[in-house]
Amino acid sequence: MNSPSSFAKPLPEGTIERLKRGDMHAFEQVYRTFETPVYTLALRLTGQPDAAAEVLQDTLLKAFERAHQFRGDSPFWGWLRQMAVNEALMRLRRDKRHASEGYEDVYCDESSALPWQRMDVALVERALQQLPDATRAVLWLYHVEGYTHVEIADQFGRSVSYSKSQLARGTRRLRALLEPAAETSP
Amino acid sequence: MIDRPHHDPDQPAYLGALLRSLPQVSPPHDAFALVAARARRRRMRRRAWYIALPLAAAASLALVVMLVQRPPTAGTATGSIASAPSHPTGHSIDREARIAALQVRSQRLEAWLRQLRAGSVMTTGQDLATQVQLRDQLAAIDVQLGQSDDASQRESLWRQRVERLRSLATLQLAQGALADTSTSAHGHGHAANTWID
Repeated sequence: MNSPSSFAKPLPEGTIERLKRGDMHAFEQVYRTFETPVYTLALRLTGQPDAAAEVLQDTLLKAFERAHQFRGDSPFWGWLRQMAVNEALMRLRRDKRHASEGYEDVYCDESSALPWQRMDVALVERALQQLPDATRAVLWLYHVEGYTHVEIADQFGRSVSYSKSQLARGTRRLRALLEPAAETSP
Repeated sequence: MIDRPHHDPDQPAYLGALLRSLPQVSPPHDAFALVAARARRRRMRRRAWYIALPLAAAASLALVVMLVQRPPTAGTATGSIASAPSHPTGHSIDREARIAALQVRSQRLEAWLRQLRAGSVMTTGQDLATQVQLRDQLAAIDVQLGQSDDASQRESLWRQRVERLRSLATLQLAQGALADTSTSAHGHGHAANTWID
């Protein structure tokens, strides 16, 4: 993946050590640093603002309680992102399928976007929303978070071909949903 | 803000670039205070465990030491539990019959408690502390039973013993019911790592 993950954010020195000792200020620092990337990931995977808010809370709470398990042999953000992915997928398994809810109520940081660009955001998000949960999650993990098919298969407890077929299916469907817009956009 | 990639939907990179260009989404409300409160509550519960567990272990050890040091006395229960009804010693037959009935009840309750413990569930620190307290009281009653020859006092002690055992059983039953509710509420029907289409 070319672009760095939105999770790749630095923390002030000593924050992790203080977090491991149960320091609430360090916890707040971690929370404020990662709340947006965790929420965004959870929202893209679950497609539900309420579920995403719960995933955010549960992920950060687990990170606080399990900070002592973080060995430091990989970046903290990667450890936290893995936890967020696990929580979101667990949530999807539990809820199985939920009523569709538009993204219109979700606040996006796009105040500086041009009108046609804002329309594009809504369009892509709506198209994503129309995909089945598993397909959307595979698409997001592969394209945006840079997971490999092996890693995705592991996350879902399924085979590599499952991940590949979900990706192919999702790509086809998303392309079909977006193509009319692509033809008419400036 | 979306940074529109080149429109060539047939290029595999197109879709990835499009998805990556979607904006980050902020949570609709600040939930840190809520999460921090949950973290504090859980920490307090864990601390209660750390305190209650050594206390329970110490109480059990004290009970074992007391039982080992105290020679068995005829006519009273051994510490672990009520022995068979003792022989009447010339006091009122009614009283001895009542004591015998209490001893039988005590034995039944202990047997029931053993069964409940076999399928024991996680408990809260507060419940564990109550359990420890009740077991301490039972141990104290057993010591007094071992030293008492007075039938009236023994009857009262056996009554207290049955009451403590009942409280223990009620506590354990309530924990079991809570655990059942919690298990069904969280729906552990599926294997954690298996995706269900």
